[in-house]
Amino acid sequence: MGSPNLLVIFSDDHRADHLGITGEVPFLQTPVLDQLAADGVRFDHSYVTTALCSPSRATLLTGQYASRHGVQNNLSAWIPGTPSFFDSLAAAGYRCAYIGKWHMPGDLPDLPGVERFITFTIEEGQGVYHDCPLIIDGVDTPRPGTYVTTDLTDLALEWIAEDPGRPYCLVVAHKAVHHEFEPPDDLLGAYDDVEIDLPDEAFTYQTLLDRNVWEGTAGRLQTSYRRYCETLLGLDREIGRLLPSTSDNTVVIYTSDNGYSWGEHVLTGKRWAYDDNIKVPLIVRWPDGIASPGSVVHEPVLNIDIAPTLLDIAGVPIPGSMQGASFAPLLRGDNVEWRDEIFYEYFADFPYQVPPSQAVRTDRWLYVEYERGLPPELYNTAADPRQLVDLIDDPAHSQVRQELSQQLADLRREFT
Amino acid sequence: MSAQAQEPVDQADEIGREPRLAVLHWIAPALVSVTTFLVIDIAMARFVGRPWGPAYPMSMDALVLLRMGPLFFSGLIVWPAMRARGATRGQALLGIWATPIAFAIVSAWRAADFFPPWEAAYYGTNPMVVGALGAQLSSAGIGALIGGAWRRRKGQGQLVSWWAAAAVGVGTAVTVFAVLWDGGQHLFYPWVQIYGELFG
Repeated sequence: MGSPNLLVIFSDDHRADHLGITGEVPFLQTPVLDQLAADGVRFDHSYVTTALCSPSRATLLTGQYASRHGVQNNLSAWIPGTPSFFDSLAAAGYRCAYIGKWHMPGDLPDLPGVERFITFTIEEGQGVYHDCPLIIDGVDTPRPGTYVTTDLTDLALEWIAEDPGRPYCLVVAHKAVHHEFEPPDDLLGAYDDVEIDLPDEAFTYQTLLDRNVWEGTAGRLQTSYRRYCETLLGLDREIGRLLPSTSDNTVVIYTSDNGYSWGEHVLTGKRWAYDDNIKVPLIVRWPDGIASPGSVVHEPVLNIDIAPTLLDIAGVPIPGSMQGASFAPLLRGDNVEWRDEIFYEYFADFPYQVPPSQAVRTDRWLYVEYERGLPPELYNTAADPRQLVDLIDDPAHSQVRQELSQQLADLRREFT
Repeated sequence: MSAQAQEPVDQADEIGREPRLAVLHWIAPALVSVTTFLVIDIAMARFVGRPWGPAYPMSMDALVLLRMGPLFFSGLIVWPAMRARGATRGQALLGIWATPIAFAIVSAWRAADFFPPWEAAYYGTNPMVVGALGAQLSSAGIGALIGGAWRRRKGQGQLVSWWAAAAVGVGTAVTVFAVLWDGGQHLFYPWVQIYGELFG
């Protein structure tokens, strides 16, 4: 069999526990993603290195931390010439396409190796759910009467069918499930009758708090959350339309740019170092490479690992510029040495009142240092998975704090 | 009827009042609005995220919604009250905008925890502040129209003045544009873009 096709489906703001297969949200249905996980491997400790749209997109493509690739927040542009996995794959004979949300400011870049680049710039690159005008290979293209998730899927299907002769790498980057949380018309209200349990610290109109108001969710938190889940239902359905077009020789990766808080810590949004924000779904289907379909991998993987993994699977050398590691051995079930800690970084992103921060997350601890505005935080994630009890001032944990602070300093030196 | 008696503003109270007390007298409605806003705002900051029992979510919702009163709608009372106490239109305008201005200052002050001083100051011009300024203008217009109708019933003035109707229209348009239309994103994104130009 020749080089495998590579299909990356990249959603927006999809938090890790919102997959039907996890059972965490009783009413939530994601049958297609559940089936993908049953046929492939699901990572239940998959994290992003910066929980924000633009940096996360750049990290996916480059395998680098935001401090390295330079897209540090939603206001910083992609630096022309930044190497991405597309460069290496195109050089190895792949045809490559990027279809969907780009969301980095400034002029759209000329992505070396990418033969088809379809995106949108409306609303500062956020796009809109209905009638979203697209830019197809540089040409403004109105799309009246379309729903963006369906439209992007149609375009992806068209592109896949164009040239069956060469292996391909396609990134489909959806706007869904980002706000304004607009599901397709036939799914609007699908979850109206389900009961929503908010976290203890949350309340219905926390969306109007100054810290949350810029998320565009003003109004009843439960209503926005229902629309979010319905939008996810619509996304799942479109992925179900895309997958049958892929052959057995296609590796499918599904993941998201960051998670999302729905009331946890009285937050509505992302950017923080808490699990609700940094943990994302990661499912890989690789018919020829996976040792045990349906298995769950517990090793902590990061979004910087996706680019090197794609190259590794394609048999293409991984450039030294990439800071992540291929998790292909974990898919194969090989015994490999793997990281046991992750480094997280966040940069100021006006007007969101989230201080720049850096954090280290191990299987037991989350330790966060803020550049300004807030004192450090320490959570025992094993005993307190929701990260509610801050142990930073607990004398019994002063030694742990000291060790994690040192660990964070070491990681900072290594990755920034 | 004398000219003084035709004036809807009750200036009789001013006679013999100490100038400082007179000023306090007519700015009192604005001060009440600002103080109410600040007290609720401080209470919210004190209690948010500390669930104490089953009443917590309802109490927090009540505080959040109550805060909207003085911030967006107190002009309904503040305008007619200040005018009735002798404030000029300009003074009454400042009075109805005092609470959004207080909100802008509080916002900027809090943002200073997260952003450098000039960027925090720019944060004080955020779309919520703009929306509140518009809503107060609109509320004041409605207050003036209600006051006009009341005086008309008592035979003391005309039913509608053109500026009151205009204030309702302009204020509503500003509020809709700043915070309601598509969640306010049509102002939000340009505002962020200007930030980028200024500080990027």
